[in-house]
Amino acid sequence: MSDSDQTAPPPPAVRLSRAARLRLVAALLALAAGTAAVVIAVVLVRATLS
Amino acid sequence: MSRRIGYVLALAWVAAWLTPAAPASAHAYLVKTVPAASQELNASPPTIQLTYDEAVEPRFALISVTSAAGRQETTGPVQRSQADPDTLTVPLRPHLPEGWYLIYWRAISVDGHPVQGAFTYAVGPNPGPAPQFRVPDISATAATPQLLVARWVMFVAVMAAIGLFVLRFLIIRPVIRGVPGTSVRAVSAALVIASIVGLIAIPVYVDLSTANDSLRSVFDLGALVPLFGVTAYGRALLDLEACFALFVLAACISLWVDRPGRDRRSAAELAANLGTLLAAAAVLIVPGTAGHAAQTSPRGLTLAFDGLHLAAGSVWLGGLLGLLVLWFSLRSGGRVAALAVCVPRFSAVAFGAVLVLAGSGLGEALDHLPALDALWRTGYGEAILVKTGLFAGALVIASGNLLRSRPGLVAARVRPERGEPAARLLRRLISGETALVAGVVFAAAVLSSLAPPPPAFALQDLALARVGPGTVTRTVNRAGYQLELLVSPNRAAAPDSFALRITKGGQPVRGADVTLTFAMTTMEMPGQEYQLKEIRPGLYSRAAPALVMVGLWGLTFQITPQGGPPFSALILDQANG
Repeated sequence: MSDSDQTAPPPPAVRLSRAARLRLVAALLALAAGTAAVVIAVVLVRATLS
Repeated sequence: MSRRIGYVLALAWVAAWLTPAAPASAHAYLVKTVPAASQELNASPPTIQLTYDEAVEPRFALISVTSAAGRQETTGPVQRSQADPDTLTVPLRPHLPEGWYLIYWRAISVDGHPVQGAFTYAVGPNPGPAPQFRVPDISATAATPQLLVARWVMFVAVMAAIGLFVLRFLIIRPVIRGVPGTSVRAVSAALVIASIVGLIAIPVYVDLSTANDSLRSVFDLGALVPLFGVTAYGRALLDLEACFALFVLAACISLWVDRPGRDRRSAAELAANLGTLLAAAAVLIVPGTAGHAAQTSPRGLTLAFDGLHLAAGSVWLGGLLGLLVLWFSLRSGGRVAALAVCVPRFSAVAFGAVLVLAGSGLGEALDHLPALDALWRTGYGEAILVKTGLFAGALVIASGNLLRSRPGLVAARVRPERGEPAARLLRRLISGETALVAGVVFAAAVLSSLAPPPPAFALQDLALARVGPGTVTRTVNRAGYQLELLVSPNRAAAPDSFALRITKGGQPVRGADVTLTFAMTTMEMPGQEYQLKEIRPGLYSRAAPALVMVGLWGLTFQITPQGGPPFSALILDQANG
């Protein structure tokens, strides 16, 4: 069995701390808020133009 | 190259999506009335029906029907017609006696502007001569001092919050970590304060505006709250509150996840910033849908101008406020070093914002003004001039910053003695500039509360003569003919007599076809057209209560002489009450 046939060991799993996970969830919430605002504005603009 | 083509296609798609096919009118106006203006009926109608070009809200509408003695003849509230949503009806007392009646109406356009009008009709068969009616004097304006101040506070708070966010996260954050001991906490606090003020100011303005439109007390919340969302104007403002609340939520998250000490932003910071900027873009586009931009054709273009205008103004105003806050929050030791990195970056952004402001403002003015002289002959134009003057003043101060303070701060890196004087000059100039920009926003609040002049305003530059008020006898020459105009008594809401004596070479011109069209030049109203009868050789006449409002009317005579080419003559007539 050559070296190339050997399966490379998996990289160590990156574990986010609880604080980092919380910040990521909050950031996604901010992104969702921005998207919701854009949807409201687009619906309003389309209703205005129609 | 292919990327450039992609951009062009994307822009073309956005333009096509935003550009409507149909033209828009500025304000609600009457398209049909039952009974018709100046109509003589054989019996009293059971109701009055007014049909508008849009679905106006009956709870904001007023229709009064008064007899010659001033008695109110309506018996119930204004209601929307079951058959046609654009039609409002009001019931009348049954079997009204013979005589003339005045109908006065007031409604709220979709852009929140009150519009009003009046006309007369008669119940016959022998109504007698029409009396001189007194048109009710009911305040119909969206520009009361109370509303203007509330509108200004709302604009300033919302724009400042967005501008402070841009300054805090996009302009000074990437560089401030390079200056030891510098904190942007005060700017963050200013952002939170502006956000809270904006969140309160929007519903307060909606309450004040709804109270003004529905002629109720601002404290009658039980009656007002259900009315907040019944007009397109109110709904747009409620949407503004929703979008702004989402912006504030996203901005607070951005503040929470931000770690300004790090060189690169984390994924969480980038996502939060992107969400806040998306919400800010939504906030900036919504006000246009509640104002003139949505009512002026081409609406897509005017909405785009409005959004750009607000965005540029927000960056400028919020940036100035943020720099002032930063100035006062920094210790004198590190102030110059921090300003030396922040001010040049803000100057570059503000310069671009000013260019966008000027360009989009010019585009909006060209779109809304039917003639150049509307700038100094209408309240709307005067508000534009005041706004432009304040803007120019702010530009002069800004140029002082660009040419004196900024170079001084930059030079302080190698010549520290230049730093403090430049920082002091910066504070003075920014204070003045901020005050003037806030004044510009107040002028914008006034501007957006006034109705733009109607397209018929442009007629004022084409008139052969200007006559009135009072009885008119005036001769003008046109196409080789002498035209003598006779109007009596030339009063609003009165059965005026309009006569035109046509002569050529001293001889009466017989058998001509003469049509008279009325257009109100200071307010959007439907035109009226009457055929004049030849009552004596060369004298064409018609009696009609066509001057339904006090104001400057454009009287256009379309004349087709027998065997001669047709021509027209426009005369401006001032009708008073």
